[in-house]
Amino acid sequence: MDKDDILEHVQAEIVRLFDLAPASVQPGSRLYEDLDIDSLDAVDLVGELRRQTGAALAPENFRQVRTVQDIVDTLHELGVDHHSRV
Amino acid sequence: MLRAGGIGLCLTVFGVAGVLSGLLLFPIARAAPVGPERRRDWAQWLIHRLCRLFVRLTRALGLLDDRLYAADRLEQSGAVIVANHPSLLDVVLLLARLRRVDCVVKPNLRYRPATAVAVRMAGYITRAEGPALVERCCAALADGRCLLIFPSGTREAPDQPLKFERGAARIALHAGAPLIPVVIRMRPPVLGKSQRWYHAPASVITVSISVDEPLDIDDYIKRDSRLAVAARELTADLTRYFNRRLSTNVYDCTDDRRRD
Repeated sequence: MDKDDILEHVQAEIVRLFDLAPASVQPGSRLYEDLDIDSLDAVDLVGELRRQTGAALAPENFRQVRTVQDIVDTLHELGVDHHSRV
Repeated sequence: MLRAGGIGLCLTVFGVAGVLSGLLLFPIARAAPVGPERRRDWAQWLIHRLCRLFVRLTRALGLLDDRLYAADRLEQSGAVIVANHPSLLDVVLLLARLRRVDCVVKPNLRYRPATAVAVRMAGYITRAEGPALVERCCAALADGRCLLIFPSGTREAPDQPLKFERGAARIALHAGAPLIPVVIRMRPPVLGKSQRWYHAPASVITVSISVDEPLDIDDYIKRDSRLAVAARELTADLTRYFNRRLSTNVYDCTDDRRRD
């Protein structure tokens, strides 16, 4: 699963979970400032991404995360397996 | 001049009572051979009494004219009480009325000398707990305890529209608990975020605290099963509600005018 696939998946998931306009969720969008995703929302997002990608994603991985692209990079580093994708 | 002295006197009494209780009463309660729940209730009762003492003293000196409307709505158990937070005084006024309540506080209050002992013993919940925060709050509500949350997260700037965080809405939705809005108006603003405690007001401090009808939480859960989305909608409505209520006159309380 390359970065473009991961990005597409993360974008779709953010749109679905928080009912946001798809166009507003861009790689450079800041989670808190631009998308109004608070720490409790982030916990939901981490849980969903972990469930769907099988990545060993923990809230700790999210400490340094600021933008949508940061999530993609984190998932990529953790080595998301294409086949585990729902 | 006299008024500044009066405020100074009240704050001194409050400070001394706070420090003395920190030094004496709270440690006695801590050493007492009782369970942590009992101790927490003692600490909350003591805080309640200290706040009441302060409020009565300030009233007796003619510095404070406070009105509380429909306070009996606070008797409900297992409710999330949400209030705006213009001043340090509003916390004291609310705690002077609430004998048992779990406050959700800023994490640094656990470490400040004036508040550390009380906050820890009273089992107040700090915001920094993340997902554990929601679980702890829901457990308290399931136990029939009430929570006091200031959704602004800190004291608000005077005469600015409020902007609420979504934690309170999340907790209420998660627990299916009633959400009771408490609208606080204060003139002139004192003990605000950008004010020093010795900035004495030029007139009597008038405070009206209106305990409003609980909001219907079920409606939001039915509309959207995604908690994150429901919390967004509920918080948006709650913010609008407070801003609308605060834009009306100080003593224009639409419902009953029962004074405590």
